[in-house]
This record gives sequence, structure tokens and C-alpha cells, in this order.
Amino acid sequence: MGYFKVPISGHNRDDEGSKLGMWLFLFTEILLFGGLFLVYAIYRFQYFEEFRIIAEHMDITLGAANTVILITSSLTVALSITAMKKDQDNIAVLLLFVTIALALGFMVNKFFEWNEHIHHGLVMGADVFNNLQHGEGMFLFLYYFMTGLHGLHVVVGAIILAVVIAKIINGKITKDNFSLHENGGLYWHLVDLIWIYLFPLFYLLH
Amino acid sequence: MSKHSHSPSYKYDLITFAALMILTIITIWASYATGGTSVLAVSVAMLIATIKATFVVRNFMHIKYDHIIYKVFIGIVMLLFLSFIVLLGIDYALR
Amino acid sequence: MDNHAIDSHLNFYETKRGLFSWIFTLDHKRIALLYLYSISLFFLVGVALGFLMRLELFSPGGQVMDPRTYNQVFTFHGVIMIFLVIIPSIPAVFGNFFLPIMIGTDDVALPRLNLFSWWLYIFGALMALGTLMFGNGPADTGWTFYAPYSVTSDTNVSMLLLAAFILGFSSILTGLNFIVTIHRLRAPQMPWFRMPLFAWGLYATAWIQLLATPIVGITLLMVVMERTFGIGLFDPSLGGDPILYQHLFWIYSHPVVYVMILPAMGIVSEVIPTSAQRTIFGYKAIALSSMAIAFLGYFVWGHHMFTSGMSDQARVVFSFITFLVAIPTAIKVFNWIATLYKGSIYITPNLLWSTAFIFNFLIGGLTGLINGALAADVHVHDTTYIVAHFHYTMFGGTIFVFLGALHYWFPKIWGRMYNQKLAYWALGLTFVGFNILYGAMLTVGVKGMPRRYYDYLPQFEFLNKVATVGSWILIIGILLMIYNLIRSARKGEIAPRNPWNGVTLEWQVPSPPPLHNFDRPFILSEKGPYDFSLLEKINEVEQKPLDH
Repeated sequence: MGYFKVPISGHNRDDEGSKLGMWLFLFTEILLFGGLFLVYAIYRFQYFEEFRIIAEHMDITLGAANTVILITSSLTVALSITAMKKDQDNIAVLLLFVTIALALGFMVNKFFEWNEHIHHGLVMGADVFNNLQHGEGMFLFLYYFMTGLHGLHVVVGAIILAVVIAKIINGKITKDNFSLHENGGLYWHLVDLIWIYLFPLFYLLH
Repeated sequence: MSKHSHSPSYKYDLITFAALMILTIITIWASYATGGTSVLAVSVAMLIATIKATFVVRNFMHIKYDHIIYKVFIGIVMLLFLSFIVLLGIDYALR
Repeated sequence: MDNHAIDSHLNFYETKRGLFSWIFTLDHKRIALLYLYSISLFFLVGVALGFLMRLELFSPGGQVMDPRTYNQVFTFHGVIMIFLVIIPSIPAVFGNFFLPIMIGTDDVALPRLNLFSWWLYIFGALMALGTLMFGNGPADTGWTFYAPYSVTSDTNVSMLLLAAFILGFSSILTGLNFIVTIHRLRAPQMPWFRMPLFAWGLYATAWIQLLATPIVGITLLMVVMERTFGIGLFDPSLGGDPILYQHLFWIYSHPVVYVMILPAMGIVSEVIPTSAQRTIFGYKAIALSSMAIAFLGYFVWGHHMFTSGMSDQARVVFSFITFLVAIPTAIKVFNWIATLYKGSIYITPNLLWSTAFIFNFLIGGLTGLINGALAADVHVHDTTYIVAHFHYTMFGGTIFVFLGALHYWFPKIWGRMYNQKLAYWALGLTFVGFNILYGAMLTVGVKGMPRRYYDYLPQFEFLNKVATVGSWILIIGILLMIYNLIRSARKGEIAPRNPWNGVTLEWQVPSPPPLHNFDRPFILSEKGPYDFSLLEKINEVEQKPLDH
């Protein structure tokens, strides 16, 4: 009677497997952005001067502020995982709340920044935009697309971290079983990673 | 393999953070120093960004403690992306 | 999913019943069958559209539809066959069903993700079908969605693009799942170079799915944005660069033809040793050539764009790298043939499907070399020669193997044998019809008939008539095969555990397998997966009645 229990079952808990899966997913995400980076590279190369002129409308201070916010949030996530490993659940939860607050701050910042641009007509469809050189329009389009897609990832990352918080509080994530916490952290670091490249490409090079 | 061989420490994370902040300041400074936009400025900015990315991947994302296969994978992904740029470059630079 | 109390004398169909036990199942075998039934349905739709196109081309001038409808039909035929049939076909059906069994485990690594990717597939498929109802008719751009026409066409291109994006993610998640499964769940006695070659094929495929698909995903989104905002990304009338679109599209869409063919080559590498009753010739060469094809496949996309206005240097580089792909491909073909040489060959429909594949793929591959050669390609570009070449590799290649695999694993999946006589007839008709249809298209293409044209000059009429008649034979063959398989699945003889005397692990489990796949410890050889000296020991199991 019965069946043969295979030595390595797909139904066992496999933290290393989940982590590998998460990394593979991150690779996909990187190449998803990669397509946009390729377009950026080609158009930057073709419209070097126009990219420079339009980039002057970008606010370095806001960009730098958001960079600091994201790096800090990356730190808090890393710290929360360290806290989890040390079995300090409360600190881990607190740090994750800080991370989500920082994510919120990032999005608010972003909102004001986009609002400012839209107010000045630097957006698809506005008259000012239509009178821009082609390269300038391309820069703005890529700016909205790339930072928009990135912003979407910030929101998704924050939701994942909120789930992690709930699971820690419910006791489903513990010192011995924090795979989801770790993977959520990996996702969050990816968000930071992308921004590390977006920041110089859109804010600094003018 | 979820148990890492190192003991977790806050200090390590904080040092990484400090390095990232310093690099952020350097890249802003460099963008002014290199005059904003030129091939040089773009290269310097990308170089610094890559150093920052390495810090995040190695220390925050714990690649340092992971199996070597992750490093191989990351290498392959980077190689692929770079070769896309090179092959596109062969077309666009020589058209 | 932790219902470990289930007895193995119940097969996986019997452990649970009802619609919900299927559409929300986490069992890799059931998900595979969900894929199989949905893919078969779309395959028939695609075949019907192809039939209509051939009917239209029976004579010059309009026959059964107007030109706009013709454009929409070939677009829909392409989208269905590429995104809904071939890309998911072998990995999602046979990969899901047999990969866990072949590497000695009871499920894929991420079963919930597996179910999720099937739902994504269905969602994407419904969206693609939705273009028939919403907006200004289904897209008429061709499945390649080339800019600028995909930007300016008044048909419902955007929705189809979004559907393709979602289907892309379904494919990515399947690939991701397989990589994790192969890395984490191989049986302890199975190091990398003792994996069956089908698993190697799937592994190479999965990496392409994972790393190439996102690029086309974002590209298609860019076209949607371009259609929405009209900012001149790809549309030259707005200052955009249509060649950039082609680059981004083919960065994915060339590697993806290896997504289609590599798992098929893996299956051929399974069928041939079983049919020849001897170990495969050049195991490592075949395994590594899959990885080599997957890797090289990333760097050859430019050969689709020789006439697009790309720089000369780029054209030469892409042409050169393209030739390199022929090396690992030829390694496989030589090894298959060397395996058959002096083997004790059992002729079955499975083997004949595989040899039909080798025949078709030889034509597909060699015509591919002509396309890869820069100077020759310029002349045959955008003719039906290209269409025929593509169908020789994708239909004559992948779909033939898919159908062959359906025969090879039929006893395992449904627990019954199929009618061999009918199977030979179906194969014969399909093979002959296929070669008449696409042989005629190859020829008329060389003579200069452009592809995707609604009408043609009178001198092309004879060969077009031949092709259309070929399509009828082909369809009769396919219908006969479907009839045979459906009938046999219900009324065929009860299949034994190991009807073809194979030695890989799927032949060591009952037909159909129980929920957790294995009812007893499996036998693995230290000499690799195709050690036929174990056959007697494996078949002993069958004669010993189960002790329940």
C-alpha cells in the first residue's frame, strides 16, 4: 500500500529554491527595464545635444532627495532582515514600517516632481511638448515611462513589504522561516538598483 | 542553505549604507566636474552607478554569502545586456 | 497539496474529481493537460485560419474574403500559432507533465506559480480573442507588429499587444519554474550530466524564456504608448526610428525560435534512443549543444533585418554569427543519426514522427543557411520562401515533434494504447500534405512571389494551387490523427507501464501515474539516462503485481 515518497519532493519547504526563483524573476525585471535602457542609449547617442538641453529642466535636488530616500529604505530593509535573523521581531517590523514610510515619501516627492513638469507643459499632448525638438520629447517620454514603471515597482514592493509585516505579526514569518521576508527584501533592493541607474541618466547628465 | 555562514550584524549594513551615500555625493560632484554631458560624463556616471549597484547586490542582497551559481547568473545577464548594446552599437555607430 | 495519504493505486485522474479540481489544481500533470486542451483548441483555430488563407490563394484575385480580412486572418493565424500554440506547446504540456517525473520528483518547484501561469495564459488568450469583438476589428499588422504600420493601423492593435505581453509573462513564469525545478529537485542520484536530454532542452529553453521575453514585453508596451501618445518613438513620420523597433522585437523573437525548437530537439533525443534500444550517441555533445544554441541565439537577431537599412558592418557580423548556430544544430542531427546506426530499431509511429522531424528540419535548417547568408537573403527576403522556411522549422519541426510526443507519451498520459495503423496513416497524410504545401511555397517564393500578398501574378497560379491542395491533405491527416487519439484515449487497449521499452524514469511509473508520480523506488544507472542494460530490471516491476 501507499506510495513511494521521493527523496526530494516539490512539496517540501525549499527556501533556497524560493530565493533562486526570486532572483530569476529579478533577472526578468532587469531585462524588462533593459529594453528601455537600450532605447535610452540609442536615442541619447542620436540626440546628444537635445537630451542635454531638456535635462536642464530636471531638478537635481529632488532627484538626489529621492536617491537618498531609496538608499535609506534599502538600508532599513537590510537591517530588518538582520533583525529577523537575530530574532528581534519588533525591530524588524518597525524597520519595515520605516521602509514603507520612505516609499511613500518617494512617491509623494515623485508626484510633486511630475506635477511640476505637467504644470509647465512638459508632458505628452501639451502644446509646449509638441513644440519641442524630437530628441527632447524622446527624453521626456522615456523619463515618464521609466520613472513611471519604476514608481509602479515601488508601489508593488511596498505592498509586498506590507504583507511581510502582517505575516511577522501573525507569527508566520519567524527566525527560522523568513524566506518571504528575504525575498521581499530582494525585490525592494531591485527597486533601489534600478534607481541607481535612473538617477544619473535623467538628473545628472546635463 | 538558508542559514548563512556569517553572523548577522547591523554594522555591516550601516557601512554599506555609508558607502552608498558617499558614492551618491561623488556622482553628483562628478557630474559637475565632468561638465555634465559628454561621453566622459556618461561613462563616469555609469561607472559610479555600477559600483553602487555592486555594493547593493553584494552586501544588501547577500550575494557575497550565496552559492557561486548566483554570481555566474548575474554575470551572464550582464554579459547579455552588454552584448545587446555592443551589437546595437555596431549598427547605429556605423550606419 | 499535502495529501500524502493518497494510495498509489489511484491514478492522478481518480484522486479528485470535478471541474474545480482541475482548474485550481496544483498537480503538474493536470496543469499540463489543461495546457494541452487549451493549446489544441487554439491550434485548430490556427489551422482553420491557415486553411482559409490557402483557399483565398487558390486562384489569383479575391476568392473568399476581402484584402483587409486577409490581412487580419494572417495576423491572427500568426499570433495564435506563435504566442498561443508553439511557444507554450512543448514546455508547458510535456515539460510540465514529464520534467518532474523524469528527474525523479513529485511536482515542479513552484506549483502555485505553475497554476498562475496557466491562468495568465488563459487571460492573455481571452484578451487576444477579445480583439475580435472590441475596437475596430482584429489587428492587420502581421504577427511581427512592425512599426510604423502597427502604430498607424486603425485596427485594435493595442489590445493584441497587451495580450502578447501577458502571454509573455506566462511563458517567463513557466521557464522560471523549470529552472528552479531542475536546480533544486533532481533526484540525489542524478547529477547534471545524468539528466535526460529532454530536461536539458527544457533548461536551455527556460533561460531564453526568462531573459529574452521581457525585452519584447517592454517593446510591445512601447508600441502601445506610441499608439496612445504619438510621440514618435518608432513612427518615422513623427521622427521616430522604425529600425529600432525591429531590433528590439528580434532581440526577443529570434531567441524565441529556439524556445520553440530546443524542447522539440530534447524530445527527439528521448524517442530515438528508446526506438533504437541503445544509449544515445554523444550525450554530452547533445546536452551542451542545447546550451550553445540558447546562448548563440541571443546574438543573431539582425539576420531578420538584412534589408531594413542596418549598417553593412552589422549585417556582416550578424550573418557570421548566424552561421555559428548551424554547428550545434548539426551536432544534434549527426548524433541522432549515429544513434540509429546499427541500433536494434523498433519502428513505431513515435520514431517515424521523429524521423519526419529530422527530414523536415533538415530542409528548414538548410534553407535557413541560405537566409543567413547575407547575399542570398537579400533576394529571397519577404517572399513566401521565408514563410515556407519558417513553417519547415516550426511546423515541420516543433509541431511534428509535439504530435510525435503525443504518440510517444500517449500510453503514459491516458493509460491506453492508440491504434497504430491509423497513426501511420495520419502521419503519412500529414507528412505528404505538409511537404506538398510548403515545398510548393518554397519554390514559388524562389520564383519571386512576395509573402503576405492577397493577390498574385498568373505565373504563380500553378504552384499556389498545388500548395492549397497540399493543405487539404495536411488537414485530413491532422483530423485523422485527432480522431485516432481521442478515440484511443477512451477505448484503446490498456497500456502497460513501459510499452516502448524505455529506460527513463517516466517508464518506471504506472500509466497513468499516481498523484505523487512514483509508487516504488526508481532505478537509475550510473552510466547516464539511456542505459538499456537496465531494461530487464525495469520491466521486472511490471510483472510483479502490486502488493495491495
